[in-house]
Amino acid sequence: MLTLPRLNLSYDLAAFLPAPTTPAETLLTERLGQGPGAQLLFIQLHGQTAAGAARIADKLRNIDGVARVWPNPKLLSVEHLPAPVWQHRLLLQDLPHSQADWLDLLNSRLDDLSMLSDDDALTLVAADPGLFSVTTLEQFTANRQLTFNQGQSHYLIVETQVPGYDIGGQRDIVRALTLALEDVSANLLGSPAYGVALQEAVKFEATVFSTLAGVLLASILILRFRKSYPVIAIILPLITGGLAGLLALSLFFDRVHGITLAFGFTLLGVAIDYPLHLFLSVNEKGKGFHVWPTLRLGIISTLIAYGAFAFSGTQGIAQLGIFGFCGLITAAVTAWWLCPQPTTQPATPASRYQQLKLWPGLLVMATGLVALALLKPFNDNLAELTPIPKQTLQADTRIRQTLGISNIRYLIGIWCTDRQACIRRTTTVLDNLQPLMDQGVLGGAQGISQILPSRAQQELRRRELQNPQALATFHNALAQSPFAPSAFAPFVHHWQVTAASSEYLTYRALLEAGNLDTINSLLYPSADGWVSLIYLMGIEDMPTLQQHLAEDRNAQLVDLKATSERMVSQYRLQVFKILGLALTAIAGILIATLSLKRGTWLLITLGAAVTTGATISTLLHGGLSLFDLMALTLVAGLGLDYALFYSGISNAQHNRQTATAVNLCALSSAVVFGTLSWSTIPVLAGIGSTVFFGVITAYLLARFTRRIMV
Amino acid sequence: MCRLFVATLFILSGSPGWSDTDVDTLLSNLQFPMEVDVNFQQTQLSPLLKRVNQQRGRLRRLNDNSLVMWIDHPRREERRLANGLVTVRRQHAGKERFRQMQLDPQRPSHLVLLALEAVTQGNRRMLDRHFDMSVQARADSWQITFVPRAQQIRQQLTHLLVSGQGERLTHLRSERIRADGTLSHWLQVSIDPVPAD
Repeated sequence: MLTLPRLNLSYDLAAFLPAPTTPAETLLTERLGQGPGAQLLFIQLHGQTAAGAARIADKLRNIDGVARVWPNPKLLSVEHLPAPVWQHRLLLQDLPHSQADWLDLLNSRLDDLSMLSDDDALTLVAADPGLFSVTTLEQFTANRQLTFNQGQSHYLIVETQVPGYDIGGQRDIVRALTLALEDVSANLLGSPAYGVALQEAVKFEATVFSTLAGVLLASILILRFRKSYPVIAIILPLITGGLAGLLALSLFFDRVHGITLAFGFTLLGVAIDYPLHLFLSVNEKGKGFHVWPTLRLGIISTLIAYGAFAFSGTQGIAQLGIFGFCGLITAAVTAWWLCPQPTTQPATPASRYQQLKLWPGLLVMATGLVALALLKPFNDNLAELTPIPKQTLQADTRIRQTLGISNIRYLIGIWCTDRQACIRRTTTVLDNLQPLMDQGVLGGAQGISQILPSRAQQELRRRELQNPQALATFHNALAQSPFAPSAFAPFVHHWQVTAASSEYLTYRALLEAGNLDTINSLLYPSADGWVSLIYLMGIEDMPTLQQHLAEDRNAQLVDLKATSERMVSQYRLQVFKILGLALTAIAGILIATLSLKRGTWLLITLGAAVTTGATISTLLHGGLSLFDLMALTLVAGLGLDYALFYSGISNAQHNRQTATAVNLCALSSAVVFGTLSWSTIPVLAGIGSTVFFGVITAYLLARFTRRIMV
Repeated sequence: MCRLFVATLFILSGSPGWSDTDVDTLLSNLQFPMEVDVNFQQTQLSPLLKRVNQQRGRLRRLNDNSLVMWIDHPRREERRLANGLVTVRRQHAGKERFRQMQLDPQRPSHLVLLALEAVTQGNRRMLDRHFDMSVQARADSWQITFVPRAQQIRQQLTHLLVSGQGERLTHLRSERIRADGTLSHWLQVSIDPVPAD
């Protein structure tokens, strides 16, 4: 108990991905939920003027955890520009080469000043007539349309300081934003909002359904036993099992995934059967048939399955396996310690009392397998694990398209051994993408070299500044313009200072600027060197883009969705292999311990229950996720218990006693998971229905595919 | 009827002051007709310029109440003012550049654009929120002086003069006067009272 406060919860879905084997897979696991889009919230304002929207934006800027709010008119003032960008503005972009180009640039500023001639704008233009600092930053900010319907509909974009996977941090910001917007008509959208809403919905539904299921279960137990001790003794093993699972996780792991906890307790549900069997196997006089040998076999089989998860290759599932394994042992020991111990041995073997029929189970299993083969049973979409409702995902895609936010599915990865090489290659890739942007194939691209040119490029630009002819060209253009000769004195001074300096804009300086959080999502160190990412916007023609990048040896187009699906698919195969080995071990134990026929009947009953649960869940929810596979393992565990007990009956009294116990076990599981199947959260509903239908099938087959001979 | 109204204004101008209702009526009469083009010329002088900068073009109030300024000279540009938002499109280096800004009334140059939008819409409420107004009239012409209410704004925008003849707006001029009384910045939008072809 003392170690439990040490448990740090994590919500990073990468914990459920297997070890990456390709650069794209490494990228996915390293950057899942860390892209710039994962920290953006979109606020759609209704019935606001532009001035009203600006006031709201100002208000939101004061909220803790908010990094930036766009649109930001203050971007056009020197004091709001990041210091390193302002200091090295002449190294960020190529200066105009000809007098005509300079004149064109100065005329643009003239046109700007015809609208905006405030003191701060004049200061900015005088020191940076090319607006190199502003246009560089605008490539990463909201130089995009945020107002629609002739100013009737305004959007604000809020960038949070906390990464997308930090649901706790995002929750505080979303709550503060919601509070700040309570007096205005507004919609809050974006990944952090969905994540927080989803977490709250899951928490609410999990609380409601677990309370409801708990009340129903307690009612069933109270109705059956009418005494407090059995009820407490039946529930206590679940509690001690859960605590032992948590203790094991806190000893082995620094962080425990939230999903592990939720599903760990679900897997532990099988443990409720143990005390039920022990209590229901004794009569009023405390006499009853010995159930421990059967229970032990069931426990060992389930432990093999759960233990197999510990070697699954992903931290999340391994945690689940360890939690289930340790929890189950503890629950079983607690049940053994708290519950009565019936010792009567049946006088005759079960095979003389009843005959086990194989064909019904085989028929159900075959039907299930055919149905699964015809359906597409597996859903490898990682997004389904979160699980954000499809309507929300579609709305998010629409908003990102409307506002021109970077695509969250596709990006370009560049892998290099050193940082400068990465920046140089990013420059080349971005240059190569320019024709596609001109053709409208691509709306835009964001890469590190746009804000941090390579050292070589900065050096070239500095040499150009040192060329006296370059400054003379500027002065000649100035003389032809309506600007006063001294208008750009601060710019000329800065030109001379930069030309004489030996300082460069550095990665560290940008990181330390504090207000450029996107830098480390554009370029970051990895185990093998450095990774540069290019984020894409407004992809209009994917085949052309794919073809273009296929020819570019410098970079690789990464489809994060396809990569995650491929990883999940490969991982599923790995889980199947492990479960196959576990199943072989369980089958070996069952057949070695029991008879061949009884062992076969048990395995067929389990197979039928699992395929039925899988088929119905696929039909209801469109596919099985990784968590449904966990749920099917639970079905196998519960079904094995029912089948073991029913197949071991050796006389009429034993039959009545076993039926009473198994009926109550099946009823409690069906009530708990049937209740969960009404959840509006797709994953919870999927698990509920998978276990519910699997348990019902296992129970019916175990009970009714026997022929009593005596 | 309008002439009668202006004549009345003229007579009233000799009196100690105008009532709010008079200013209101004058402003509401200034509303630009919808979908009619008028020529305009913008002239400007700022400390960065060695000579006056001039722009010419057409101006139209659209059916959706937005105000569009098409600048034809010296370079093409489109400015659209709608609901406190300015959208600028211009050609630069062979590409169309697009910029959109929410106008912030705390910025003097933004306030001038907001005032232009409000005057052409006859939006008295917006003007009242940000300016103290006074009217002078002589013969057929009149002039409204808008003094920004915020001290911080007055440091960069001393006042805004809106003048016209009869029922037509002819000039909108912003001025910044130094402490010594000399003119530091000015910007004037002159509107041709005759609709363009």
